[in-house]
Amino acid sequence: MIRILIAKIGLDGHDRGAKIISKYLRDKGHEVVYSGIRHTPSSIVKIAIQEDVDLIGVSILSGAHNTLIPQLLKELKKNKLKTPVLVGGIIPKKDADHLESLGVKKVFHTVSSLDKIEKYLHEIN
Amino acid sequence: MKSIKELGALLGDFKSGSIRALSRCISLIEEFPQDRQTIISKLKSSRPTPLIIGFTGPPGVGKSSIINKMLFRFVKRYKRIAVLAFDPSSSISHGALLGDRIRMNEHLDNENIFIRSFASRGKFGGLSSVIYDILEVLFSFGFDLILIETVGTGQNEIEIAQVADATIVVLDPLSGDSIQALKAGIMEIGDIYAVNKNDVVPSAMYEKNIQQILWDKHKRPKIVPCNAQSVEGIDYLFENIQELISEYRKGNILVHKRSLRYENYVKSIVEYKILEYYRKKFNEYYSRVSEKNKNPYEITSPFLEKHLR
Repeated sequence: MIRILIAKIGLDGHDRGAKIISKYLRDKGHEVVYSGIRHTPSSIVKIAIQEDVDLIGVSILSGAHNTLIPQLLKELKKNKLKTPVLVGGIIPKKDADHLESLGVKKVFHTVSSLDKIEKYLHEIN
Repeated sequence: MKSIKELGALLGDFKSGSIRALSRCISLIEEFPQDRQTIISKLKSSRPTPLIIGFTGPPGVGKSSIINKMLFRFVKRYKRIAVLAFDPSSSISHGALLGDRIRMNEHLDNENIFIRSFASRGKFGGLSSVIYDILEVLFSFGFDLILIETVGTGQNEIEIAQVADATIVVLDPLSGDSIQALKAGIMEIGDIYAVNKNDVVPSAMYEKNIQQILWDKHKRPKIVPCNAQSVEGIDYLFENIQELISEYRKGNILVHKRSLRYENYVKSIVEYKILEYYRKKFNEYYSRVSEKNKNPYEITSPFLEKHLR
């Protein structure tokens, strides 16, 4: 069982993907804290601390990933948290490479299979 | 032993008030049942016991939303507040979706409010088997108020009344007629009944229906109509909770409730150990039974006779 925080970051209300992932992970036996929409980097880190999660999954479809995700990584570092961050959403290939080079564990695109995502969680946990 | 080693490293931070250390200690309690005794005793400090208020009621009735609004009022009176929010674990996958705190995001910037989600992990009753131990950890950390939100309850999940100093049963105006209020279980345990969502359907009829059942010569629990969205009635609910608590303090009822909680804590430890022990024994026994289409009593009675004599 993995304890996972699923969060939406920034001004982005498109939470269907986040909900589908949350339900799939629940059905695979994990405990999922779903934090809802419009979070800031610092509010995500606060929830991650209070909930002591093993992983943070951030969903973003607004296009602001290059601004917000580095801020999230910085905030985690500031709090000395080593929780792996996974990002899912509409992220162009070159941005995904960039985010992974900054410290995001992996970026999943909108076409990623749920099964593959879940299997990946076991690989890193 | 892994947990004890980690605990050693956390202890200093825990005692100096680190939320992260607290959070990690709660996880250790959940993950290492065999080490709970050691963890609790290492964390132990002599702080005054905080007030514990429980919120229970059917799924989707507004428990989290009411707690969210109440928090704005509680922070003016209590310094450090913890919210423990329980949601059900799947009996199919054992997974859980913990979605109570989503209603309380407004309080993330308040460092005096700590919110933690729990899955019920196979325990029926509306809470989880770790509840008493988690409370001990919170007592040692030093909170002034602890709010507990149960899983969305049916009629029969009433454990919260054995844990909390006061229990608020949250309902909505469509929670059934007076016959439903007559039934045993959840409609017996409220110290206060909050009827939420009174904008959806006028709640006066419902209040009357349950009042005629709930009120008798000995007990007249307050029935409070409210609306967590518009905040109508929330101040009134808060006042009623405060009045109830000071009444309970004066009448020594708090002392009585706390000794009951202690008794239930003790019993829960024994029950847990006994159940684990015999469950294991029985599973071994059952795996050796070859004929499995006999009358079930023929299979179980030799086992029971051997162990329950």
